[in-house]
Amino acid sequence: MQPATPSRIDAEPLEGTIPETESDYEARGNTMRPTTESGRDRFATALPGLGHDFTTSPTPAVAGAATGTIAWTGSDRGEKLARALGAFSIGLGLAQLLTPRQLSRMVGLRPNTRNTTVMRILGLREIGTGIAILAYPRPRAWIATRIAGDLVDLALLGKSLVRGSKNRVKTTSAALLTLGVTALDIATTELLTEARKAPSPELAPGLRETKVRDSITVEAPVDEVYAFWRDPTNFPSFMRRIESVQDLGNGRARWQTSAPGGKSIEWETELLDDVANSRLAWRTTGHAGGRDSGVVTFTPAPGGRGTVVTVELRYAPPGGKLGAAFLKLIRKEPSQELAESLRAFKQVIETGEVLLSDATVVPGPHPARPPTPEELGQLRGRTTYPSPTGRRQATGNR
Amino acid sequence: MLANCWMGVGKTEVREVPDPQILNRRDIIVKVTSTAICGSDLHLYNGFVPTMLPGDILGHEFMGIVEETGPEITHLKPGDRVVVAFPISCGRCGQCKRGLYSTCENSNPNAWLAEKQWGHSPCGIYGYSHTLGGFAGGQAQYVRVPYADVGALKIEDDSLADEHVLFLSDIFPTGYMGAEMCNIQPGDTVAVWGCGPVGLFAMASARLLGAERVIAIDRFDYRLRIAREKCGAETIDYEEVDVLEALNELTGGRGPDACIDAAGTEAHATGPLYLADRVKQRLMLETDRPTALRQAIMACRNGGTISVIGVYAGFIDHFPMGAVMNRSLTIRTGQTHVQRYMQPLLELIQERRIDPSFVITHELPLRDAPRAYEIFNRKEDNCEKVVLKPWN
Repeated sequence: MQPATPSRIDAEPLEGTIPETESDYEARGNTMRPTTESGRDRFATALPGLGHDFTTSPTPAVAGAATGTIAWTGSDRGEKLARALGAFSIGLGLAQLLTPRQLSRMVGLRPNTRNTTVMRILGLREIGTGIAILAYPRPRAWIATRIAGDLVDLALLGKSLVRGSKNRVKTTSAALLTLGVTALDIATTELLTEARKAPSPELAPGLRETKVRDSITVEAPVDEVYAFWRDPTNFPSFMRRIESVQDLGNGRARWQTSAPGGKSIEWETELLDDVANSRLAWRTTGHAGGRDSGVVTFTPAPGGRGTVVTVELRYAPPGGKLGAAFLKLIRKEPSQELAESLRAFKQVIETGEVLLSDATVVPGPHPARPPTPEELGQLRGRTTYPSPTGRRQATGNR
Repeated sequence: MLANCWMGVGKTEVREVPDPQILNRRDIIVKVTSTAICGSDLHLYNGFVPTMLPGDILGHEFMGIVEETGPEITHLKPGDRVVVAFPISCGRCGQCKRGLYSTCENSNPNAWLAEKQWGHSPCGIYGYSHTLGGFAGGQAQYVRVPYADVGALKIEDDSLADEHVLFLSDIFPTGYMGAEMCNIQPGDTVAVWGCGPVGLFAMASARLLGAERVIAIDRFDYRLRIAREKCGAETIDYEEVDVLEALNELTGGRGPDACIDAAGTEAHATGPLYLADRVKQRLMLETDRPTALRQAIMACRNGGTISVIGVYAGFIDHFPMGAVMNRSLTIRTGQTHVQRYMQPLLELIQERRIDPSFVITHELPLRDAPRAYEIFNRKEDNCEKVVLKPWN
């Protein structure tokens, strides 16, 4: 099967993946097709000449398959641009630092002490950002820093236009130039972001998919581990944020979690693939149709040392990119959430429950001292064992 | 209950805090009868271990009476007397099954923090930073002990006082493991950097394991004297003589067969490199101060073993890797797998082959803990080991 808008076909799938065949795809009665207009394609159209070398692999991924068969290898353009911007930063910064008077005049300002000092400070910032962009292997964050810098520059220029400019034409041209550079910075950030996250074929246009993958080794035989994962009602025991799961039969399940603000979120999943003692795959159905999917594979660890469980989740974060950024801000980054869920799963399989420490009983920073009864209440009694005796009265300390 | 809490660098405070409760099915609550300040508590006290929060209860050496048991604890009942191992270990993961209890894969709820610092996470430890789990420590009137079926050893012999068995929780097994890692052969000479309690137990254990000579290195007279008198060690005061020269002279130019670093990250020394380390540590360019470790490596006989039981937290500079490689040295190290040693060492104590109470110099009520930390940290009043009594 060909992608609907073939750009250049890349014969190499992502490393370590096995492309599914079309017949596998059809055999499940899956009729979803890649959209013709992924976010990237639109972007490529918007910026001709920047996006043409993005490549897709020939076999699109089915939702829920562990194959990840859309391969974008177009990060080169973004990185070249980033390097150019880094060099530009350093050049401009040096000029600002060494010849602040000339530069002040160029943007239509008086070369007085105040203006040249600001110019020098801005120069230092530019040099720092430039070095960071060139020195770090993944410069995306530093390009973003440049955008912040651009905004500062624009604000300063705007302020001078209102008061202080002795040549409005020069100041306005400088502001327009800065705007252009800002656009370039944003474009570069986009390019670098896109290179990291491949859009999923079944997503609505503009929705970007997040993929997280992690694995863990547990001291238990493969069949036991598989059976544990095959029963969705086991999930709340190790996924902190899942409140309940109801098994609807035929591989379907209803999940429930609570969102901030006490609202409850529900969704349903269906089993896409079930190979005993080897592999399970789900995806969400209903209004969230096909947005989120997960694959778990089970392999015996070498030397009879238990079972390796590998989980791959793909989903469009609620609220799109902004939502993802927000989740990251509050430290609920998908990859960390997955890692912690897997660790909790290991504890449940190996020891029967998730271990609590004094500091981790409640979310957020908490000193390593026993929780108060109110703090304990937040646990909702799920993972705790209630204290059976009234020892506290006996000690008379409270 | 009362508990000794970390309140910032160089500051602890005995505060009223909530009593602990059973949170997991294999927990017990212990009424603490004796607890001790460990040399590694000083690393927290002096701010060399990151991820401490004001209000953290300190202490990982403690023992007491079982007050309450979780539903899956069958071998203990309220009223039993127990010593608790400082590593929190599940006993069921691959690492615990191999006997590597201090690298338990399940006992650190903040494993992600440890992974950021060290690549992978070791076990959780009582009162030893949030990187190691954020567990409340035992310098308190009560303490919660998770996985008590693995970590709490019942003491049935009432003829043994707390002072005889308390150190099974950490420093005796730690010194013993330090000596055991040296693979001591009859006739061997073992040098030990640091005559704190762990160093002394390493010396005593080296003797028990058949070392012919033990050489102790420190700068405090009173500590060197204990090493001579209680552990039969020859002693070197590093402020008086050049350690490498002295060791060569004592060992016929060959160096000790094994070297134990029982000083760790806050080792003191003389000379410009030591000053450079202190400066870098202050400027956060280096987290640890490895002067004892460097010396141990340079001093060791070709093909010998460096056993590191002093605690390090992060990164060190000027590590003499060339000496390690070219002279076929072996470095062995680790937080102590205490659970492995508690029973056999308890038997040694019962057979009266060693009396661990010889290291104690101070016994104070828990409410004096802040003063005790000061004395111990400044090595005032000939302080070697402080035992705190929470109910006095």
